[in-house]
Amino acid sequence: MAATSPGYDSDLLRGNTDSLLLFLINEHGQTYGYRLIKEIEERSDGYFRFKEGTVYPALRKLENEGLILGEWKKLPNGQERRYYGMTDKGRDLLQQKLVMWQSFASAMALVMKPTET
Amino acid sequence: MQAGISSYLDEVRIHLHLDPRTEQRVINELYSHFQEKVADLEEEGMQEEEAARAALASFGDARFIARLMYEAYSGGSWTEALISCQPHLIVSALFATHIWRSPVLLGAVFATIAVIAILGWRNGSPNWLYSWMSYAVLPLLILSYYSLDPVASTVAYFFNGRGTPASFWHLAALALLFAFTLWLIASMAVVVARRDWILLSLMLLPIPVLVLWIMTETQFAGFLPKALISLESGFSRWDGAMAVFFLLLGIASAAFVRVRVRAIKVTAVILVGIIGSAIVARSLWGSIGFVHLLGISIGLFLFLTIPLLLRAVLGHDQSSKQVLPS
Repeated sequence: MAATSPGYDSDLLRGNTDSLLLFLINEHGQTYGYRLIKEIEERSDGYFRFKEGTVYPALRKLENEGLILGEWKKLPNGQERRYYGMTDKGRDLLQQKLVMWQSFASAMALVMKPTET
Repeated sequence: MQAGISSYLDEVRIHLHLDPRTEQRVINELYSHFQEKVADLEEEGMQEEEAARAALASFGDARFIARLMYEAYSGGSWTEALISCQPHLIVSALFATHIWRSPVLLGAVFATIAVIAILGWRNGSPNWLYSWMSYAVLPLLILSYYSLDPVASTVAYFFNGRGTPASFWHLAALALLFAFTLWLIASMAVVVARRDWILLSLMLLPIPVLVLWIMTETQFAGFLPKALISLESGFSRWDGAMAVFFLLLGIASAAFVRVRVRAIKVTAVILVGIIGSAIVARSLWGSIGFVHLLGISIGLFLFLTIPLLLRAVLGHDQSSKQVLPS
């Protein structure tokens, strides 16, 4: 995902897009692109802002890798929407990424903690 | 739907270069996004036009998004890549084993290729189809090429009284054959160029080399069907180069299906065309210098960019526009 006006290194977000998307899809069971975009923005208090169109290719890549599964569903108003759900492979990868992320964040916090002099 | 969003989606569609069904799925998903985004912004108090403008601004440049979508959607599976390189590998094997001279085997191979190409065409034109298509029309092209002889002979008879004129029915049948061949090739070229000009370049790539080879064979052995039967084994000296060219083409076709980055696809098609043609030209003409190589490169480069011009003239396939959800 391309960040629009990040107050952070945009590579950081780009490198973790998969984790964010997988986490939210896993949490909802099934969800769709627009909801994911809104939720990332809301949960990060607007910190993560990116070009919204970049989420859809990212979702397609996850689908290509067999991590999520897309499915068209007809809504009561006749509109069609593509929903994404997790696959077992996606769930396994998410677990690995969560463990990795938590260890990484803890280690970063430990190292970057101001030392008492 | 706002006109601005419709034209944005058209712009994305024009630069997607995917098969119509996939393009439609992509556009439907983006359309659904805009519907919800605009509705949300309207709820926040924006006017429809302002909401549409804001939705577009936050979505990203249409060409950029189309490029990302192309990269996400265009990479085919290994199976598709394998199917895509098959016709080139088959032709390469025909040359490598010198068995292209068996008319029955040659006929069976091209008939099978034509049947597979027709099936692919009728089943949504998958990515692997385009390497099969040029071979499917090749028998017609060769037939048309050799049918020029009676026509030339008739023209010569009327102009200078030499040669034997063909009968009216013979000429009428040839006219029908030319018209059908031209119509078929033009129709295919138009449909493929509208989807993606580089697909058409890939499809046309074997044609100049095969034409060059046929003309050289004819120069040495006369009418090709006769040559098929009676050629001395010494004439198989070009077979190795032809086999290498089609092998390279097979590799390029498989890479074309697998690779997602468009610039690499374009480079692969042009490079394989130039290197392969140089190998064949060297084999046919004995040796080639820098000037010849430059000439071949420029000629082939121009030939391969004809589809780009065709696409610019024809524009994108508009038939899929009407299925935008209302």
